[in-house]
Amino acid sequence: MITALLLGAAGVGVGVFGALLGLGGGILLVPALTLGFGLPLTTAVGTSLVSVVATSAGAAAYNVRNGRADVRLGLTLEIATVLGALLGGIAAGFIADRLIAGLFAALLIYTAATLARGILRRRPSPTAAIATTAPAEPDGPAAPAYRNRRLPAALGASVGAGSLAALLGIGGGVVKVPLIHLLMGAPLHVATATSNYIMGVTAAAGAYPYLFRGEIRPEVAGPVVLGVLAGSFAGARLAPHVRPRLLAAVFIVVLGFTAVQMSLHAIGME
Amino acid sequence: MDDLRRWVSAALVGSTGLAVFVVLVGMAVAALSGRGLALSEEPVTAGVFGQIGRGEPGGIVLLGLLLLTLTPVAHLTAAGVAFARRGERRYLVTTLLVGAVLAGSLVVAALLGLTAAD
Repeated sequence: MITALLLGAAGVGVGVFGALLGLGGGILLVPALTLGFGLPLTTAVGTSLVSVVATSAGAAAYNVRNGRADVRLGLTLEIATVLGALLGGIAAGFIADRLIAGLFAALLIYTAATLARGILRRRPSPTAAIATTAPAEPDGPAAPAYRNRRLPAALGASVGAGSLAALLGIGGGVVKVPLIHLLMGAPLHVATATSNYIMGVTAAAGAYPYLFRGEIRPEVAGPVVLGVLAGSFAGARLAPHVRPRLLAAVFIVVLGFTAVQMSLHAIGME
Repeated sequence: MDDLRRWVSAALVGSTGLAVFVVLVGMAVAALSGRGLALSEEPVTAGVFGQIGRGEPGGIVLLGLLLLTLTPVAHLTAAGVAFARRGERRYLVTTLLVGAVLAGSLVVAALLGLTAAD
């Protein structure tokens, strides 16, 4: 009973965090379940993926309704992302974990540095002029310019995001949020909300193998998922009251934390 | 609010609500019966329903988690219908492609699960 309550509490924290930053929370949940609760990595990854689906649904329902999530952009990128998740799941048995961790750490460091430059910049970002229209505009002349900006590169990066999501048990938001915000030029709130919306599809594709192999335990996933849902609802309602620059600063800390974790794993120190 | 946003949001709420309800039922059965949530045998695709039939609360929770992972099917369907009504063919095709890949992932995983059980 106490273990179930602790698992639920961990889920609440992950849910709030994920909804605020457009992340699925897997970055924190997988280490928490393996290091904090001593669970096998496959159980932690599978539970994390199901929790990401819950996080996505909880926040996305709110963000889609109020127009912060760009459904059209999200679905466009999701073609590549879910394909990447499928390929990543298949490739998991062939690619060395440490190689993936090292590449991931490098990407996170680069992204954190780029976001930090944006916060420190005194003059408006070059992308700010692009992202001025509402994200919920339909296709056509009124569509926001960022929706098609650097789309081929964004699709290519989305394949990578999906692969990493399936391999590491994350929602892919650490890649998708900077991809949508920095590469395509969408406002940060749109990037986080759109990432939240589509990561559920990615995580579901990644979760199916774990579910059908019996690596998702109901005594673990049940309390965690309920906690994550409660946390994501709260986080989605807090998000509009958080300033974009503060949101970016918190995201940089998360990226730095994750980069350190991945670097340690890459060099064999865990 | 346009129909796309309203329908996708409703699909997310409805499908997630159903999944959560089933998980809560499983946890309530576990608490009231004192049986716990741990499963008595390895759950594979057919085993989940077998365990529900035997009244295992862990099987009910697993069913709820399976329904949760099917939430994307619900909101993709809602989005596809909305795009079709609006005549947005590009995004209708996009939605169908995403759904097809997701469905393929589900089938492959289920087959792998059945194979592992043999």
